[in-house]
Amino acid sequence: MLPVPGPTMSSTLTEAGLFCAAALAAGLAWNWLSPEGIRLEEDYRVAAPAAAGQPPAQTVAELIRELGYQTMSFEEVKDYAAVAQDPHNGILLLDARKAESFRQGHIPGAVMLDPYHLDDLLSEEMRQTIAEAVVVIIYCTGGDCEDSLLLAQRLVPAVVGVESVFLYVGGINEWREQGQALEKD
Amino acid sequence: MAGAGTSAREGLSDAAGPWSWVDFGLLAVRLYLGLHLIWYALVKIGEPADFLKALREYDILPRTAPWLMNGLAVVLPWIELLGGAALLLGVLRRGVPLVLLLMLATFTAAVAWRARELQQIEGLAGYCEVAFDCGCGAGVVAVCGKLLENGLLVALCALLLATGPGRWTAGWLLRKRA
Repeated sequence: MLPVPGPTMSSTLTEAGLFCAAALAAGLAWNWLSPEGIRLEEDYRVAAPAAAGQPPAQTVAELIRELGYQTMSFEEVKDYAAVAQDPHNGILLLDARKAESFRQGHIPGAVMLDPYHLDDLLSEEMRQTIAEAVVVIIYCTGGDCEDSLLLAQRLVPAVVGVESVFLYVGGINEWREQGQALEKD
Repeated sequence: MAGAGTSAREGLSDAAGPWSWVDFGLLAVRLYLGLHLIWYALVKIGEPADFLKALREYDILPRTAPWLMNGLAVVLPWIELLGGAALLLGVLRRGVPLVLLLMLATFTAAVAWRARELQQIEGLAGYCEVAFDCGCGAGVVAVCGKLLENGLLVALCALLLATGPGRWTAGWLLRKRA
């Protein structure tokens, strides 16, 4: 058996560098081309200014409290959802989940507005509709989901005033658990 | 990692002698690792925002530079995908196992650290009771099982880094056909 020279440290590091460069190029190219791509410079975190001497808010409930948003219970959302389908009522339901989840089932009358792709989804017409709404209810999956909070943070105050925004913290999970109908697209 | 001299294992796996259990073993390791990485990479590549949310839970990068975390969410799945493909083909013989080893070891440590934090936050008595979405591509998982799985993956990457990919590689097939 003929011995074969083993790889050197430098050839291994060269391979590793080439491989990382290829992964970087492929990842950036795919992100740029894909409709699901994210904006690299965008800060997608929900942040609340910490009070002096206090640790920053961690949970969704703490963030909502510190940011001063109003919330709605399941019963309240159910009542509003019953009249939300008539655009003249000034009630707007916004679903902050991704498009695929929205298509699989959402609260009847809700409009999909994924905060990770807001620049593509927030048309001038949509901006006008939100601005004119009296009550804007925003929900996502529920539980620890921060997407509704992120959407609210990106709409207030540029598009709508904080007094019109209500977060449905129970989200689609609670809606489903309560046996309510889902609308599918 | 081998030095500039000769490696007995490298010679054994590249030589044109009879097949041995080492050849089958290294091929099995590459298939397991490669397919495992490709599967989880495809989940993450399809949902970059979901992967970003999971990564953010670790809070390991400075908040003043969101592009760092966003960039990580975009590039890491491609390291897994291309790394899995390279392992299956047996190309970039030591560089790929080295990168994968470093990536998996770092994330395994991060998962262990985050699970410790969650245990304290949720007031759980046992470490193994912690279950969370670690961003690994499998949704919510029990931490102890995940750490064992990742430990195995790290060990297999270390094995391939030490031995090389073995006999049956894309290069071997091309040489055989030539």
